[in-house]
Amino acid sequence: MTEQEAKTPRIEPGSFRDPDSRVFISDGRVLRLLSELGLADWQKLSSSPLFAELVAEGKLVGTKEASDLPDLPDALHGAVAAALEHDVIPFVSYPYEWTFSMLRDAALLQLELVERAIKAGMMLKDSTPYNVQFVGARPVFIDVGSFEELREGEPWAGYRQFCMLFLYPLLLAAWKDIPFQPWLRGSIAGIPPQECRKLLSRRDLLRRGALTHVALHARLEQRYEETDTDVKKELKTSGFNKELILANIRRLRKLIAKLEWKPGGSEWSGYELTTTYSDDDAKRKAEFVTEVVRSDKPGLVWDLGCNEGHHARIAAETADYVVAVDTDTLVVDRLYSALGKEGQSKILPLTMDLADPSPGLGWRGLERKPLPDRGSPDLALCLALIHHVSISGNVPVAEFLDWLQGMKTALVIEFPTPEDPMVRRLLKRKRVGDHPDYNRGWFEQCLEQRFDVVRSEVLSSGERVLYHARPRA
Amino acid sequence: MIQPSLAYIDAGTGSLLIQMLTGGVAAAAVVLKMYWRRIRRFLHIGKPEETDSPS
Repeated sequence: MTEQEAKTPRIEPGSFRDPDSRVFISDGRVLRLLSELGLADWQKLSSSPLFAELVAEGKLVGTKEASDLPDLPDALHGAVAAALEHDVIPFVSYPYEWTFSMLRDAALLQLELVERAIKAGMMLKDSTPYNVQFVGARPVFIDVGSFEELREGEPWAGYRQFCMLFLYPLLLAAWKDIPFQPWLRGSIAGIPPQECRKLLSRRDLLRRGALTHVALHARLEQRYEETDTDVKKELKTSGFNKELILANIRRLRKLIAKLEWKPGGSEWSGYELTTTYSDDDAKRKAEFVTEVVRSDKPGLVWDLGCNEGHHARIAAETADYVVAVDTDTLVVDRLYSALGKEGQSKILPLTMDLADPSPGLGWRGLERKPLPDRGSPDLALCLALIHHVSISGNVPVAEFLDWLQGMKTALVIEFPTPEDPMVRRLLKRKRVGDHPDYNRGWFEQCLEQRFDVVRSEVLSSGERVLYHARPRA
Repeated sequence: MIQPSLAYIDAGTGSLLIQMLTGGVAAAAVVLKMYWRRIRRFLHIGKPEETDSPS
């Protein structure tokens, strides 16, 4: 993106669903335009002690009324009544890139906010994990426009969305060991009650919450699909009140807090422990990374294939922010918990198949952005990664380097030679001669064609080579 | 006072009704009252304001 393009205000394509509140990005600023109705809700929120409390606790994104606004295109259904400016989230992520514990913490935050909002005479108009972002390992609610005035006597409008995007994905992971990430990546609206019901066995229905939140919920939805009855009015006249919502929230909080994901087996969970890498190689690798981050002083670092986050932590000592990505969800889940305990706010752990990184999704493929569109790295660490992407994922070596070159990032990249025990194991699963491009000579030729190689170092085992490369100007 | 009658997301009729069951003991009274009203409506007894108009 050119400097001029970065300064031109553009609509955040993922923010169109709520007609009373629309987000713009302008010269690095995150601005939110409000309709008259949106402004009334903001005034209610900002004048309540709850707002200051939530921001101080780090649970709600810092927000102020915006001054010196750029010219913004008309994007609301009605006239623009006011504009807000939000603190910038260092790197945007989506629920299909989170681990179980991350989605659970986001769900608990959503429920806590609904509960506290109700007690302050407000409500949250929706319930989507896309309203939650992570700063390091801390979930932050970003949609200030979600708060609205409580309408006494009305049920919780966001309950269905909460089930589809938070509760059911968590239940499937905890009860069935079904990873929710592909489901959420496959459907931006989440898992509908009737689909979730079909995935549960009779035995599952005996579990806490299954009967009401899934089975009866699905049954009622099916039964009332075609109805014209004004159920909201009927409930109101029958005495429905906020205490019922609060009771539901309390039960959901209890249910979700107790959910645990116990995966059957994880590919790399013991990788650092069982790997054939010698202590000396591991030490040299860490030193190599340290030297590069000290010399290059990168702002944003991606650690691709981060494993337990050893090199991400080294990078975080000097970099502004590190996005640590690994295919193994269990490893990343453990990393997330560890980072939370350490109070680490500079490393964002994400899970993703690096041979199939997150694409653009949603309306016109723009609502949810591909990974590189959310901020290209200044430095990408690709340690013990390329053999997995190239041999297991069948991505040609040259194309993997093309992808990195496209982001104009510097690299620390490790090439495990075909003699490396892990490479041999991966190649054994393929036909003989299946990966002719996987050799050191071709890798170096491809790397040199695309980058300026600053230096390289053969590790003491002789089976792995490290390279520091910079993008061509 | 601006009072919109609908949320921008589809709350789902079934998802609203199930909230009578997720609301604990206090919800039982609402269930009874709603069904009692439905029975009265079915029998054509009761005050006119209790009759729902289709939305």
